Amino acid sequence: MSRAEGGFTVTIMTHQEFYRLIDQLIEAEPGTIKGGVQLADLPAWDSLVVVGFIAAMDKNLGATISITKLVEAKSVDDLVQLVSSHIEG
Amino acid sequence: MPEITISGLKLHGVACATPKGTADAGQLAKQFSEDAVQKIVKSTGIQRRRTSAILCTSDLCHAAAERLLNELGWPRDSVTHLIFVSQSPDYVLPATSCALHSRLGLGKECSAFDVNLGCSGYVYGLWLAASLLQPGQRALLLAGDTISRTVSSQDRATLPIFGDAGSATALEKSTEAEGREMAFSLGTDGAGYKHIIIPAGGFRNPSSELTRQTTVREGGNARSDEHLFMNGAEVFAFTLREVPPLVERTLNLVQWSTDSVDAFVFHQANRFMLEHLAQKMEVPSDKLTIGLENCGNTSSASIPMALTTQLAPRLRTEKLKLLLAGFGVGWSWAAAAVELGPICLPDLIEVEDPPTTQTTPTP
Repeated sequence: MSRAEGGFTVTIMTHQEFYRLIDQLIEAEPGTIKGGVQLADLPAWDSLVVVGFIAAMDKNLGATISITKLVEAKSVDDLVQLVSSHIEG
Repeated sequence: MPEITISGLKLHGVACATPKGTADAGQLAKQFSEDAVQKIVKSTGIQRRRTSAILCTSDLCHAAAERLLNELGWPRDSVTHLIFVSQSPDYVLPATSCALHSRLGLGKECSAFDVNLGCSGYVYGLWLAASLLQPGQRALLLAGDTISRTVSSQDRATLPIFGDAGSATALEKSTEAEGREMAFSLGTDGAGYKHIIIPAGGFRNPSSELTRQTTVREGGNARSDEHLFMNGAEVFAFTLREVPPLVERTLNLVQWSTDSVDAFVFHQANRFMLEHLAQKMEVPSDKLTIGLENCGNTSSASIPMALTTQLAPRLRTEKLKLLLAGFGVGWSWAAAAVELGPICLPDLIEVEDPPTTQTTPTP
């Protein structure tokens, strides 16, 4: 999906699509990731997955992420905030 | 951003050398879990690395240069420039290029100097050599590193990645119009200096008991301030930001389309990053050169290593349009559009550890 914004096209996805993408990245059962989940409770969330997350956001949303904020992210909701302009619904 | 096209160049040959010793990814399971090792290999594409606890970069570059000079039949006194690109010199001083000048028996009418660059170093070295050469002169570019000797054995972010290698490249400026063009594009963003760094052991933070102390750091990795630190997330974000425009600008310099390039030979950082970059730049997978499975990331030697291990049969017989790009530590980046081949490209040279530990000769 995409929406027009100031002459540019912004690729967007829903919260559910975003959560499923992270499920895949950490090779977890669909539904593992949802709002409120803390990254510290996900053993699979390691430095390799962080790089995979950057790649996935670049590939799927064309989004450039602040690495400083990504490193500070504590929860799935914090991850959503990193690409909030691309998440709708 | 410096962009330049230099003509009249003849790249005669490239040779590479690695330690004979092999470090297999399977051995990493001793330090890290089997599961972690499998994930790392899947992502990096690195099954084994060539490492030595004794050999210096200069030893590997020396072996490569000896082979190349002999195969080309270049008289030693015909080399007018010797450039050594490395982050792992023999000594604090003098320049390793001077020591290599002596070991190779080059003549006195020869400039020799070191350049401290890594991932971007090979392309920087080509640009420097091409810029310095006057018609009739010859340059020997020696680029390599022994980064395996700088990593902590308890750091998952660096240990599984880096291997050791040295390279030699022979370049000449033609007196006639028969040479070829090389187009270069270079850049720097020093704000990234801290993301790939060995913080101590230089003059800013001299070696001390404290800097040699290994402690547990981010992600559970343990290392000292004299070990290599690499922030993988920052490295990846940097490459996504800078490499696609770098490649585009360089292709524009020579007005090549992606389709007209025979092979894209990038700094061999890791497979995941290279494949993602290629996809982002719409480079077809059959044009993307990946050559790190059996040697790892060899820093400034990674591009000549990829030429040697992946493109040798073609480069010995054909003329190929290549887009070379190095990017990383610094942040520093450089790309070159070159037509290469047929060139002298010996098989990978394997160097055995010397029987006794070499020590620093003192006067």
